[in-house]
Amino acid sequence: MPTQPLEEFARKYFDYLDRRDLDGLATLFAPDVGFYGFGPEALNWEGVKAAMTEFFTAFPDSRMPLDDVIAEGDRVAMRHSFRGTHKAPFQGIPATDKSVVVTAIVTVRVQDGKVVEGWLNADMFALLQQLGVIPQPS
Amino acid sequence: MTAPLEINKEIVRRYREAHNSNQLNLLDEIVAADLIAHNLLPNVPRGLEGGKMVHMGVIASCPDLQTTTEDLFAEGDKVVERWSMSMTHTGEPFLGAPASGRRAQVSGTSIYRIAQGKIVEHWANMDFLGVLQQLGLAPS
Repeated sequence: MPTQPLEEFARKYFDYLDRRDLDGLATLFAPDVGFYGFGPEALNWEGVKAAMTEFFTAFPDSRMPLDDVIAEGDRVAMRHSFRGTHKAPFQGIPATDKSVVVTAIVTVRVQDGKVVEGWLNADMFALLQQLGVIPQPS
Repeated sequence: MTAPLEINKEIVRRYREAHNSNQLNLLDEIVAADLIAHNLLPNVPRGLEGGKMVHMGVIASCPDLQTTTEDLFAEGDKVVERWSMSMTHTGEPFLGAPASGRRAQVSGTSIYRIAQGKIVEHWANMDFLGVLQQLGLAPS
């Protein structure tokens, strides 16, 4: 696959995420995708949708700008950030009204225009620090 | 002639091997001294020397630290490495906690920018929270 279509795929992927449009994002995923990074087990699309819904509910003003795209073959890496205000419970943490900014890199393997495998590495440590759950370094 | 993307991937393979064999002097040939490293923990010195210090600090606590490259791909002047890391806390105290004998295995992704045969910029995201949880240094 030439790189160009994957660049466009990445832009579309993050347009949906930046607008918190999970119905749109669903059009880019194979239902039986194996997606790693939200917990110990790989998630299918329903699992990814539930995990993202938790983020978007807890951080209703969230934005997810895309900072870099690197593609080769059927894989594309997307470096991005997540920013938002903590307005509702998140992973058992009651709303703090704090603003967070964290970085992440998500890599996906794309077949026939759909994500069939994905790997997310997000800085959850920084997120919990910024929410005040883990002490800030001195 | 080897394609530029393959040359850049080979630089990242050498970078990984230098760390896994703890031969950090080998990094001098393939990493710029004024390396710009993003997403590092706070209070880490900048540049290549800071990276070496972090690695030696972790090795002192977890001497079996190994990182396995799971995927490597490249475009333009960047290389993406998806990796998994394993470590056992058997050595010096780690973040103030004495050795527990616990083992951690986590994933990460690094992006390297390469110019004139050297890594000049580096972005990394890893499951640092997972390391702390699995080593018993943070609640799960």
